[in-house]
Amino acid sequence: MTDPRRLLAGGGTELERSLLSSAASDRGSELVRQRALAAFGGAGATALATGAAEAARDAALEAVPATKLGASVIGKWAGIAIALGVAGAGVLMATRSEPVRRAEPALHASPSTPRPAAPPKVTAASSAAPTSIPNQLAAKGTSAPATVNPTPPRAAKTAPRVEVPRAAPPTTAEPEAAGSLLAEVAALDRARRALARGDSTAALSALARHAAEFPKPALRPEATLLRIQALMQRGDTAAARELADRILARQPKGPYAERVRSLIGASPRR
Amino acid sequence: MSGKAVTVLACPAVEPAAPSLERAGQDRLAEAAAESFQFIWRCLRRLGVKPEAAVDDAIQQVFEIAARKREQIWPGHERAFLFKVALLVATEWRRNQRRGEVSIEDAGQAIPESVPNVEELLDQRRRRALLDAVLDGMSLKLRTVLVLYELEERSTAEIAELLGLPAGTVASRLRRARAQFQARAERLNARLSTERGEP
Repeated sequence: MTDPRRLLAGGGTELERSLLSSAASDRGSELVRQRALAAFGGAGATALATGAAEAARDAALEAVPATKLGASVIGKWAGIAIALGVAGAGVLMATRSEPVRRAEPALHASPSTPRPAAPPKVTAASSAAPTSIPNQLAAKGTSAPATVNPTPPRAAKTAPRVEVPRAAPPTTAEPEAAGSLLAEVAALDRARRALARGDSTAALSALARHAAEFPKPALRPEATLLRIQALMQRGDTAAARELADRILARQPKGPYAERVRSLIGASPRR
Repeated sequence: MSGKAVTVLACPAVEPAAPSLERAGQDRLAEAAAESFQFIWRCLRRLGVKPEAAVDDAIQQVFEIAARKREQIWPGHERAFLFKVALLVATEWRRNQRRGEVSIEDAGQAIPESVPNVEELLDQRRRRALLDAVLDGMSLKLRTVLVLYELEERSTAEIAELLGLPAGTVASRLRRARAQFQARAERLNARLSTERGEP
């Protein structure tokens, strides 16, 4: 069976391609990524370290030209990431307010291939640990009746092979760096929450505090994007555009360039 | 949590794992999560979770659920599991949005009242808002296949594996999804042309 030609590859009209291509640069921020990966606690350290190069690249916005990124920067981020992973999810989660107890969606297996033994059913009550994070969805404490049918494993007749994990590279934890990063995450989270509720003044205040507390911020790109967003929300488009133009002049093809253009409503670079 | 006992995902690998094996599973899942973050984020966004701040919360929820259920995930299927959870979370968001429990007020995402000119149409945000408006009218199962195929450029075979569906079902859904998408895009085009005063 041959897959049909994709709309973006010429199979669609101009409008269809225009609509579909608009999604290409949509992406989650590094701040959200760090916070989400912290959900994996200690195990997240490896993953965070894996993403250290990307984080370092993002962090370079405004700080140093991308071409000058060296191993030292990546190494610094890897160290922070590992320390952050060790610090665990609890600390990061604690930075978020509005503790709620979220219902856990029901996940139910309905295997389409025979399995060696009938899997025991596990009740969610045993695994639904309370979660201390804000979430509009959880505000109602809904349970999820939806069902998920996981893809049956190809080798279901044999015991799952579990590889021995790669030995973690020896590293010295950087508690100070991790603590600082966590504090930065918390500071920017305050700004993000203020923006989400439409309070641009509070967001800008939070960003000003962040700038004062962290003269050399690791999350400078995040802070800058939030500032542009806050200025736009306040209606100060001139200031937002000035800041955006400075960034785009410095790194027109940088990792955040499209996001910056998107925030100020500029046409994508071609 | 209501306290109601519900059946949760159960896989054969339910024997208590040795600490080192547990750690292996955790590392694999965490690595898969790191590699899949943008994919999951984009999928949540295009599957109808909005505004953007809500996507940030939704992906947090996805990863937390996955972390709690990590011991139930088959080795090698971490990414598929994350996607399934994302689909479930997106379903919840959409349901709650329909109930009005989650605000969908977001000026940047609303269908524009005024008609964009050609220059504005090139604007990425506006085009994304229009894209979401077109996708919003589709059922989640068709939308999911369309997003995975057209935006994430997955093959139908990969989509079949991700969704746990026969390849024929995916191909059939894709045909219907494209037909719906194209029909809705055509209506949008007609509306834009009319409001611009074009014949």
